[in-house]
Amino acid sequence: MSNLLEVRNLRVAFDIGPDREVAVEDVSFSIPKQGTFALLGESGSGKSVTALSVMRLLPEAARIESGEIRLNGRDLLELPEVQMRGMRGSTIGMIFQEPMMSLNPVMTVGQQICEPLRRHRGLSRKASRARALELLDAVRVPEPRRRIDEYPHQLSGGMKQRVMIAGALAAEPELLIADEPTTALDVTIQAQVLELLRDLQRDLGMAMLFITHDLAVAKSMADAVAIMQHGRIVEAESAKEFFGNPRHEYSRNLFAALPDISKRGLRLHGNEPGPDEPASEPVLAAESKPLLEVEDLQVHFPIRRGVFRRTVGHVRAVDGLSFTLHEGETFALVGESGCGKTTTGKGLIRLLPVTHGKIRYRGHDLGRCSAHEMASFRSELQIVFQDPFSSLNPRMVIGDIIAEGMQVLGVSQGAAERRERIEELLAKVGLRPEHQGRYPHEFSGGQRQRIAIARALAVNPKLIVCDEPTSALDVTIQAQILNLLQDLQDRHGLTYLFITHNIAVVSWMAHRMAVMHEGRIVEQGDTIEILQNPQHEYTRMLLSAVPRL
Amino acid sequence: MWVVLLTDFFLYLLLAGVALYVGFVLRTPHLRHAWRSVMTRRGGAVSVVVLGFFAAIAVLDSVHFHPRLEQPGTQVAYSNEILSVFDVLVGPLRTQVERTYSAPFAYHAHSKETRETPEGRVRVYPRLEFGGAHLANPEQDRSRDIALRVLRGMLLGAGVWGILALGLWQLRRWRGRTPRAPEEAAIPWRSVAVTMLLILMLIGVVTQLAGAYHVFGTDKVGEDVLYQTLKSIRTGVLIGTLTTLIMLPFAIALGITAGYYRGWVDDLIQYIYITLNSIPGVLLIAAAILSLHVYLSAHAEAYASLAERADLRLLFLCMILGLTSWTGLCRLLRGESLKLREHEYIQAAVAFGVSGPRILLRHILPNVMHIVLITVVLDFSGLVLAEAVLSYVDIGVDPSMNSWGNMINSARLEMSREPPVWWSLMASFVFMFALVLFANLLSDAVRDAFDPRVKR
Repeated sequence: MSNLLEVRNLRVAFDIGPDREVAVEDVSFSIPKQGTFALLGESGSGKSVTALSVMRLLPEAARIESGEIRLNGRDLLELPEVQMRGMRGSTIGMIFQEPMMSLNPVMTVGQQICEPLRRHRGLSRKASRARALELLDAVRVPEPRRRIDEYPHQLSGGMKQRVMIAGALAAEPELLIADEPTTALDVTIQAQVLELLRDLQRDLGMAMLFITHDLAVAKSMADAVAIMQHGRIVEAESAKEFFGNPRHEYSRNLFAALPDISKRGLRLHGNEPGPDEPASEPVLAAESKPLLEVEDLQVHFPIRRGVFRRTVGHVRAVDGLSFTLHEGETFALVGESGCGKTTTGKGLIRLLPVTHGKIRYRGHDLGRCSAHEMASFRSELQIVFQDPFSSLNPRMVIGDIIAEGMQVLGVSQGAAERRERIEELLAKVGLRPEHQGRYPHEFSGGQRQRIAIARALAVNPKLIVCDEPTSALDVTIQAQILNLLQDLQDRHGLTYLFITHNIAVVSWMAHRMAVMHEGRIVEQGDTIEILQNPQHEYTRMLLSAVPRL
Repeated sequence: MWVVLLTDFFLYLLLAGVALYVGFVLRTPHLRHAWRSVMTRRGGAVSVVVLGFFAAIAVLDSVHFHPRLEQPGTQVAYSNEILSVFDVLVGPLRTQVERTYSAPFAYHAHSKETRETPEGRVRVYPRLEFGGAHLANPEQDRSRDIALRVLRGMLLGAGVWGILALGLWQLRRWRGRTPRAPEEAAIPWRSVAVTMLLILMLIGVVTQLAGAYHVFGTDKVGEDVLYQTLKSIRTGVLIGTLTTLIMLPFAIALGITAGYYRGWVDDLIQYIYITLNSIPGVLLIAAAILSLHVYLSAHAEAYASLAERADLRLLFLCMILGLTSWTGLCRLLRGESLKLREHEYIQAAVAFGVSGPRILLRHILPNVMHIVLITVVLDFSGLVLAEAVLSYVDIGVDPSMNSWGNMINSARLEMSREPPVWWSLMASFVFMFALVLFANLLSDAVRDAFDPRVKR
């Protein structure tokens, strides 16, 4: 079988001020016709730059310094731009990560799909519309006749990604480049989109360059895999060989960093210094007392219309939840986006007003507390957010960020004592004392998340709401943060309400879990029991959609 | 005897504020970095130097006193007149007053007068009292005299510049070179030096010429137009800065409050600025100035001098301009705060029980300051121009006060004379143009450095 795409010794560098930084170095791989090749790697490893080099769509500052990229034997780097433009969208199609960013909001779905058809195939207006309808049908968009005249904002995330795929496939490319096509989607949608891509590939007989950071997704798609680190391919292998027996140390570390039910009680491999001792098994003392009891919690958002902003209805974001958190346990709230899990977390600590229901904490109902009474519980109930880039004030130094809660809640008296405590906290989360004088932008995502955890710990909380604390992080960093959270729980007897969409994380660290769907809990109980023997139909669907290694 | 006029007081306040801000910038790394990147742009560095000279003149012109009267006897008496340090420095410019119009560099008046001579009455151009008075034979000697003075002035300027440069260079060598961080670009010292040289040479030339000629001619009552334009700098700068000083508290407080609290607070503040915005600004300003006028005529005895009355009117104009112009910035800040309040660090602060006002001060305000700064610098030139327009329609500063607007207003009649009197208009235009141009250059550099969306 001859190769459709061959990349040889590719080297790409970026101009950064007076210096040049090499983003991709000595990358070689080939994709056979109708084959699927997955480029795996963590953020910044150069996988997207490689894909953009194939399209010749690199940003201004980047330059391909050497190497060749051959498609059907022709070197793409030698082609004049005019011919290259003809290739894009017709011979090579591309789908991007963010479906919201890559569709033009002022063009209808039909217009966006018809554009490449008329451009590359020279179809008439009528013929291109007919073909667009066929394509929408092929990517399984329901009611294509109605959808074709809709605008992107009227579509859901998964639907947008389907439209993107339809657009990329419009001209029947020989090679489809998919850059993290399902990263922004929920698992059930991800499963559908991946299946769709597999089917389309088989039907149309095209090759695919699949870029992802998710090992499980790569396994479900690829025939061959290459793993990238710091701009180089460290291991390239057939998928069977790679997932069966990874040879390079970096690949093995990646597997070791993945949380999994089989690793419960063990530390994840996070490439971090420190003892690699096994953590204690997450078993709970049977007599642990309930810490927080939630009964029929409802959080509704009013929909206001008209000049006088009358309330015309409610969005029932959280609609009657009941659960109990026990001291020292990790309780996971699992669900897809929009199911109300974040709203629940924020409602519990009164970052959002509670519409109805009881939140019993130490004999008080938090839902009915006045703001003044609530203040006395603030130090015991804390939160760690998802996005480490928006959770730290860019205009404050780390020391001040951590000190803020202590000052307001009067945890440590006096500047010297506070300073000492900040240093202690920084050490606890694996940072150095001199970091307290720096600003957030000097830290990486993982370090920022550590700072956010230190900020929450500063006021000696009993319960921490962890709102997707690792979903913006790479797997090795995720492993580090999860280990840290586990250690802190062991040492301080913290209780976590762990909000996440990531089943693997739940299976590794949660004692008990609840599955949420459309504002309600459909199933709750012991984590292992639910994972191994799901009762509710939705839970079963959710679990079956998770790609497995 | 020193006098502090109301506007002087506010200007000193402003200077103190600027000094505090500079201190704050030096202690805050991200601000220091941003200001440094303003200075590394050629346009930014040059306009800072030029605006520095404008500001220096405005400040010198804001230190006022009553001059002591020369009187026999021991009794110390002060004149009713109010002078500034700047008036003393420019000396002859202020005192060498002709009888009426004369053109730039003229040695005779602009229009003919009738003179009694032994041959009867003749109409001649009378010689000026001061302009070119030292020349015995002006027709022949004038160009040579002017050229000589220009040359001397340029040499003088270059000399002063040379001494300054040498001194700074020596100081730098003596203090030792501070190593520059590699990621920071260099400040274009060469452009700064060239600008300084040009300005100093210009000053040298003007000082050499101004004693002997009226460089920009004289106006209807014989006052030197150059003196008037230089005095107008203070008016322009004050209007540009005091107005923002008055507008900022409204814009910032209301803007971030509306954006952060939302709900009825937001509705109320929005209704206020929508209402204010829908009243034509000129109408409001005219009404305010006219009512001040009525007040002043009713309480004439409370204000000792014309200067104080004019000063009060200037302050009032700044206030009313400030009250009508805060809405734009307020809108911007409201929008930005609406966006910021959803950021998770604000929610983290709420989770600590941090009070609303404290969140506004510690979390929201520092994160909108770049918008405030960009708007202030951008608005400055607009306000200088607004003064000209308002004075042109007679609702600006007091007619007795030197301002570019008043000069342009009087040029309306001067331009219709035959031959036209063009120098007043030209002089005010040149100065106003320079101020606004460099303010715009600076605002461009500031925007590039502070606006997070303009990342290079």
